[in-house]
Amino acid sequence: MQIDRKMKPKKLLKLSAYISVLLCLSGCSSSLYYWGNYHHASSEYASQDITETEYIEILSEIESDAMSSGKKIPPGFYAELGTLYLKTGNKLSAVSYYQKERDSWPESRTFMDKLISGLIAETNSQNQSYDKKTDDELIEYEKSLSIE
Amino acid sequence: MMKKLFCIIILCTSFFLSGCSSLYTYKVDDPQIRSILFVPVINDSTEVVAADILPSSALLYLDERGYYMFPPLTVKTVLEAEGLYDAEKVQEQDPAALAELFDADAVVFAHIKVWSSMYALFTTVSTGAVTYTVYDRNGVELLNAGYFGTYSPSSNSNSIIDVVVNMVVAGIERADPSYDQVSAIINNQFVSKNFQNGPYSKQQ
Repeated sequence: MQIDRKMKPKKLLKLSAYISVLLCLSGCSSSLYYWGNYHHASSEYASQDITETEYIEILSEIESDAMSSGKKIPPGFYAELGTLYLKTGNKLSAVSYYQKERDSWPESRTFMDKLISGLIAETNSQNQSYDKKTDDELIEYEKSLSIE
Repeated sequence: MMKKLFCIIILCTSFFLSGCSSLYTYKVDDPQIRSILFVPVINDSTEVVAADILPSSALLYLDERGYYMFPPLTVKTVLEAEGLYDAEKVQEQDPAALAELFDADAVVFAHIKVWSSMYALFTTVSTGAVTYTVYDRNGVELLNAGYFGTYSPSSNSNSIIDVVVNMVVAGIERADPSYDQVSAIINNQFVSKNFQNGPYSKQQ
């Protein structure tokens, strides 16, 4: 993670706090998973200091850092990314990350399967209602979805 | 002779110390428990964000203990889709029914009693107090405990530079308290004192 020279004192203080949390976690035994700055980012998202899109970018960066360093992504991480994509309207990515969570952690299987099948059913019903529309209705429908 | 005696003392001490850890009994030590559902938190404080910060921090501690914790943002989103917007409403549900909904092996109900920040001379102290109740998948209560944590970013040094730094830091803290540190302290106590190493733990 790069430290911005113009970083506000508030952010620097918070960053040092997160680093100390991570050091505490890594002090007694080595960490099971790669967390990057998840703790910092999740807190910023909870405080609404960052948007969903910014949070997605941070988590995606953590994911690629973990992959490139051969470290393991923690349980729940892929599902959180999926939910963030869902909140931004990107259902395809949401399903893809829910599938990753399900395939990585067998404990999540029932829950993820419910989410995936619900999203697929929702998308299919939208597509069916789209197919039944007349040309004029389709134009209005697409306008309502802001499709250009 | 002295060398032998020294070796015996070392061996006895290490044997005794290794035995100590097995004497401690954790409230959550059932090997059948692999996954944990941490439901939305009831928050008695005026700090609204505390209810979201606490489960995000718990994810880190329970995952690192070797368990699968259901992702808090996803859990909250799904429960809201089910019409359960209030944490009070969620925690009125039967824990066994919640466990069944997510196929979780254990369910955690957390309740924030105190979450505040107090500005004192040259320092700001953030404080939190949380009670936790853990149920197994059948709704049987496994533990009910409360934990308290305080955090102050100030240095203990008395040098004039540190006093000035403390004043600046306290001012910043006053505007934006480090509640994530408080939640880390409290969740660490909750997990380390009550949960045996989970299935993904290296020490399992």
